[in-house]
Amino acid sequence: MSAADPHPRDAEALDYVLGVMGRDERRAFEDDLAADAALAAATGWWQERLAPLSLAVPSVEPSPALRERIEAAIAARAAPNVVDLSSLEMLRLRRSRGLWRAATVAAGALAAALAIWIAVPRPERMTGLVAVVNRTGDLPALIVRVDPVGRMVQVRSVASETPSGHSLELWAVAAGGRPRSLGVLPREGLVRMPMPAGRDGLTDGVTLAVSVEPPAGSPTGAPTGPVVYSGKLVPDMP
Amino acid sequence: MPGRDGASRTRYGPGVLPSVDALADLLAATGRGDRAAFRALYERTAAKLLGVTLRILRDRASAEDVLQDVYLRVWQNAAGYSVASGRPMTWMITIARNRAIDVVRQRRDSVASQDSEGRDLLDAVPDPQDEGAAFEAADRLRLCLDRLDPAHRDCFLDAYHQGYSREELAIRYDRPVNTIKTWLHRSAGALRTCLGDR
Repeated sequence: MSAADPHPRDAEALDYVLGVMGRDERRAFEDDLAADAALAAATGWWQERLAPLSLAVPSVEPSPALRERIEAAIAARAAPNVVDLSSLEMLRLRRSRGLWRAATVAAGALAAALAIWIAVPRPERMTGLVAVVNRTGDLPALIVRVDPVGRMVQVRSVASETPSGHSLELWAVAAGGRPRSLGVLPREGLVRMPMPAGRDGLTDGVTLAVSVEPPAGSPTGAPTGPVVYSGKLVPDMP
Repeated sequence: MPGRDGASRTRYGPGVLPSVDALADLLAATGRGDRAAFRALYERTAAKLLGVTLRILRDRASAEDVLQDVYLRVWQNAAGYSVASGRPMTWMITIARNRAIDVVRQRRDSVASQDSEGRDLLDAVPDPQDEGAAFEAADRLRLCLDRLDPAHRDCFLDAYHQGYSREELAIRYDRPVNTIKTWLHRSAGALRTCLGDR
């Protein structure tokens, strides 16, 4: 991109990089970024040019507990997901709401077989057994427990089926929000994943959904395959 | 954590960042699942990124929560990092700023009473000895920002550093939102020309 011939939405790209946009405007712009490589390039140009401003901000030493939290969360994952998107992650490209909608519609037929059980217990109460009873008597696909205190999500695959050559990825979707990946699920057994940051992370009423993705997880940061399971987050104790 | 002692104990003083190559190597190793490299990457960058997120979020707990999310994303996405993604620090700063701004927009805080200090921060742009190119970029940016109208420049720097929305800037600068929009767009045009690759 030359200075003489900036992108028609160059000023808007700067607004995005500065962060002055409201929430909805920001999201709409991110959707546009996904579809417009030139706009993404203009945005990257500003990010690179303005980075010296961030380098000038005085450093603040994080508390030692933070590194421990991060390392514990990583240790809970077997390996990093090799997601070939992070070259674009900085721009958060390809976040496609349309794709998500399509996937949701495709999942409609399967939705009858929903079998995610969501529990929000205190960690010390997580020792008991949970029986999840479906109308059909089938086992639940997954048991998802959310520990808001420890900010962890625990997922146990019970009877979920992972199509061969694919993986299952867990997403949190707040009402009216975009799906946020919580991570790729193990084929069987238990996994603990960190809760996404932010106050509207995993709260009552958030929908959890599981989509079929390539082996390493969604390459785009948004669900790309059909949603095969979904369920709402509900407290397990009144 | 296995192999943790492989992590470098080297600490970098304020304003002195490790070279681009060192960070790129650590990112590449992190992408291969090397936790020692990830720890070294964290050690070398976390304090800088916490400074950035803290300025936007203004409370330490939120800033550290966001930072946790940022490093988990770095861990998860490091394998896909390439030079085409920008400089390693830019890549990480962008992830950190995006997350912090997302969270601050969700909050809808009222305007915090914080002194405008963007200008001072620009003056404090460090001269990293092993990053000649970064120094030139900072120098160029300083020069170009100096040419802006002072009010426009302050507004621009407040936006970048504090994560203010247009509405918040309008209150701070006691101007209509449209005026703020115009200021920022004028700054965009002037900076695009001044900073443009030549």
